[in-house]
Amino acid sequence: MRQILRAENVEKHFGELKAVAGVSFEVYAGECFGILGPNGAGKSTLITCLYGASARDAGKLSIFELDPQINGRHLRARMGIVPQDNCLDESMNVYENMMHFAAFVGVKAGERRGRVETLLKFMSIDHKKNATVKQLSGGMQRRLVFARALLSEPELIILDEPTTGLDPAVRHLIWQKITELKLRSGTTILTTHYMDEAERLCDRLIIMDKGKIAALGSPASLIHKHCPGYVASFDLSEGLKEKVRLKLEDSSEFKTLEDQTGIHIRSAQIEALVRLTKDLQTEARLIRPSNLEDVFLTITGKDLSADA
Amino acid sequence: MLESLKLSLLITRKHWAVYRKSFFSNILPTVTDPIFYLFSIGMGVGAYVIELGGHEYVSYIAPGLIASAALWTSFFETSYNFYIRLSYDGSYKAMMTTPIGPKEIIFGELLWVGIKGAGMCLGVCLVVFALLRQFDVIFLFSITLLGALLGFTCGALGLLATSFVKNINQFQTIYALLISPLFFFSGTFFPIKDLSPLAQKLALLNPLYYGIEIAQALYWKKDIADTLSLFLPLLILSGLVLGFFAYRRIYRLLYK
Repeated sequence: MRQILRAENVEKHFGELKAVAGVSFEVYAGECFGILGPNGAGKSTLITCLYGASARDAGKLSIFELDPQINGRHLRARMGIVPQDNCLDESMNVYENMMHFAAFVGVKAGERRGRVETLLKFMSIDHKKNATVKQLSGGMQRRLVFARALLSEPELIILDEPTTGLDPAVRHLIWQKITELKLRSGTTILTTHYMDEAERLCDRLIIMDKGKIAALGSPASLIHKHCPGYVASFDLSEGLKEKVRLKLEDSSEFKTLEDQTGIHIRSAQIEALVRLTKDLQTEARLIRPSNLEDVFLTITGKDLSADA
Repeated sequence: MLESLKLSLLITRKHWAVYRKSFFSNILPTVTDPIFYLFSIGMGVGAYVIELGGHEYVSYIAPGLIASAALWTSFFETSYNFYIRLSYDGSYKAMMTTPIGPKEIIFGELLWVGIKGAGMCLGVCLVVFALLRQFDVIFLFSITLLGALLGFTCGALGLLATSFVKNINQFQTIYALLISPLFFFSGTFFPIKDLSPLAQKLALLNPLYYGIEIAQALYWKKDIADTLSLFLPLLILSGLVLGFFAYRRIYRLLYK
């Protein structure tokens, strides 16, 4: 597979703080590559280095064999970027926002109108063409930002937390569009702190923590490697805690983890968990296959939603 | 280079598109302020001043008020408006996801204040023609060019000041301690040459003063060649120097 992006020991500092502290990875043509991590892990900072909107302090970066720090303008002409904040112009309507952007990304004057109409239709906001940005709901605004990012007919799409704060219906719509774009063999890099989003969309991903890569691989391989099997979650109670401690202290079959939301017990076999709940004489709140969230907890020992 | 210029022009076009949306409220203060100065100070104070430099007082202050319009419009653009685009509404963040970079943003901004400076001087000049003197196409044309140059220079000064600002309230400090003194000690209301030698030297640091000297020479058609040969190079030089430092500091704000 053709390599599109290569990062080697990339660092970005803000004073004393190393927001990105030596990160290396590759992205290949046609894949959806995820950058996961809690708030403050350095995801967005890394992303802005990728498209040349901020300067890295160390390391090498090459995208389409160009350095974004030197060839940012040419690179961005081949990218479509959805920034974390919508950054829409509130004094203009949907259509005007799109038209000015079309000019910025170099769409020829004669083709702008057609391209804008097509993309508004693609994101199902063509009926809001004349609405001002203020009149749009959060979901509509996000769709507009997607349409805007596609104006350059990008070879590489960069999405910085594409669905944060959106309701489930809009999230699904956005996921569907990302999948459609992927099928057109567009390469996508996406940051998120939603594990389900990453599992659904990403072919490979890195989990970042404190500016470093804590794990790299496909969602399935990461789950398989770090926490295969199933997880049973129980409501927190002192009695149960004690029972679990006594029963599972020396067990190699079960792994126990406790956080504010409850006690989570993982095992490779679902039958073992069912048996365990009977033994404990407690009903499990939930038994589910283990997921990326468990991977993150296992690797970093902390809750993904916790602000760093 | 050509590509950069094209992008800067597109940014300017977008500024204009946004500006046009509330055109009337945008141009109002820049045009009405000089009218109020003409009526209040020009005619009010003018009633007690028989003449100044061979002119009726209201005519004395007219060219300075026309040229000052470039200061006001470019200061408000490069302070509040620029800061909002930089820190609040994400305009520049959005632009930086396109081929536009910090260079194009800064050039686009300076180009825009140049155009605004020209437009405002032209507008105030037309008002002065309507109220005070007969139409003069050569003066109209030359004051418009001067407005562009002053808009650029004062805009660069505004950007430089903005680069030091930590929050939007600090613009009031800049207004009080920088922009107002520049206006009041620019030679609009009284001749700088009658001030003390020290004050005259201080005035030489004021780019608006250069512009006002030129505007007065053009308005009264007096010593035009001498004035231009001294103050035009000064104005251009100050524009370039301010532009250079503004560019360097704003670049670092846009591209961290």
